[in-house]
Amino acid sequence: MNPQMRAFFNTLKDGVAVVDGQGLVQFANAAGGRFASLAVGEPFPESRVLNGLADLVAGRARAPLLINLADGVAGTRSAVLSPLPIPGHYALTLNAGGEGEAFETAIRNLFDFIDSEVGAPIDRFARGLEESFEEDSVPDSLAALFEDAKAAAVLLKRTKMLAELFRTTTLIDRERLPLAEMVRDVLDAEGKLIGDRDIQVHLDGLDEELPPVYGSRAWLTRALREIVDNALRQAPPKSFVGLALQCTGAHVIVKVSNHGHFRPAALASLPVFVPFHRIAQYVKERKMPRKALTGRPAETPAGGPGLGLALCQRIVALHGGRLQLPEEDTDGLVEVRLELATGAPAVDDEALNIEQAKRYAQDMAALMHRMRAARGAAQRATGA
Amino acid sequence: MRNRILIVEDQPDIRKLIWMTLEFGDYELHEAENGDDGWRKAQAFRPHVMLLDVMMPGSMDGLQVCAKIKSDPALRDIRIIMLTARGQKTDIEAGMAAGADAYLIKPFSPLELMDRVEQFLSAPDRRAA
Repeated sequence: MNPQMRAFFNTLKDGVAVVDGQGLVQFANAAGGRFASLAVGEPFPESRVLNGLADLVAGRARAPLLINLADGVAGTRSAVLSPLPIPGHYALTLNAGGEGEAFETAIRNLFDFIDSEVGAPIDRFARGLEESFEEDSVPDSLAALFEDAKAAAVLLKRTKMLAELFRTTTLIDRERLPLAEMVRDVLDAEGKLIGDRDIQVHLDGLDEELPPVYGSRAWLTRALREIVDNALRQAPPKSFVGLALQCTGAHVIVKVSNHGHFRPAALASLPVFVPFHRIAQYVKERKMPRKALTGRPAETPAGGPGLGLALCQRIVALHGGRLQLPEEDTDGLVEVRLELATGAPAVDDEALNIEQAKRYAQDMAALMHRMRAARGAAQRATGA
Repeated sequence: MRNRILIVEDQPDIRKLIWMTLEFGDYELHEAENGDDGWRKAQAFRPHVMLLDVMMPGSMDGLQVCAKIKSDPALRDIRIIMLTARGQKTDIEAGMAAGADAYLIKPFSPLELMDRVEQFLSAPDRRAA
């Protein structure tokens, strides 16, 4: 292998080895050497890889061949064997799944900590602030401090909310989503706000049969709640908010509309999808009026129970969908569209297929015995 | 006349394994690779038993196909075995609510699959679809 290619392979985090048809190692990159003690000219030190290679060479398996090594070569979860353009040579990628799992565990631990250790003090702090001060009773000397404390409490509450979601459910899931039920759940959760603002909610398409949509119910319900909450807060009091489900082509669309805006007028010039933790910074940088951050709840971008439209957009995108905020139409109707692809996500679950094939192999003798017995019985019956 | 079985499964490898398993019996086999195709073939072939994967791409998944079949007087006698991925407890509940007659969890035992099929085909209340 030429030095440039060698240098390139050594930059990869995954282990890469080249083996010949007998499993003799021809090359191993630096990461490959960390996963297993690979010596050029020696057989690859893992029998499952050698067996897989033999199957591939004999045409009994298809490339790329995934080999489960979860309890095998140190630090690897799987290996993938693929033929190379050089005749009789195969590339072996040693997947560093352990690293990804370690990251996931670290994130989960962090959110566990925020939720269990920091959550209660955050709640107490936020409640205490609300109970201790009425907006008008704050002395001028403390006003700025009070506003900062309120903004901090909101951010902390949202961080705790994120922690709860991360702790209890995976970000991307393949649950079948009962969209109509999710819309009703969101409206139940927003019941107080609907009542307080005297908003009429118009529902459409909830009873129609729609194609199935898959994803994480918890996260997408959360995203939908954020959009609906926004629509309720920014709609004029005693107006209406519309919620409609419909299918167009390969997408199911949740439309949320109001006769108002989806953002406070003070923040109208800002990009829509600003992460919630950066709202304050945006306002400061652009010298927006401080009131825009700390006004009444219906005008407060940092207020409400939500995670922010930016996060919603990410959640929806992770599920292969889109969150669109079109321009206001001529009637003053503003409509947010949450689009999700219909049908189950295509799955190429190699591990499941292998396990299923094993079950087949295990049962084959019994199946053959059964078939022979049935044939024997049929022959006897014919003979009789 | 041989009993007809329709396999509706989007994963080619699993579909092939089910086919190979059922070849041990004396059945007329048909296959479909998504819900829409499955619904069309159920109407065309009127199978006695249908093996139906829950999660499939397309405008109809297994649950919707199952519900449509069970609400169609001409097809409702088809015995439906749902195939569901492990851990999807809600799929099982939803499948039974949609009218499925049984379910198997992947990776399933081919012997169990054969037993279920034969059990349905030999049941005294079985009516030709």
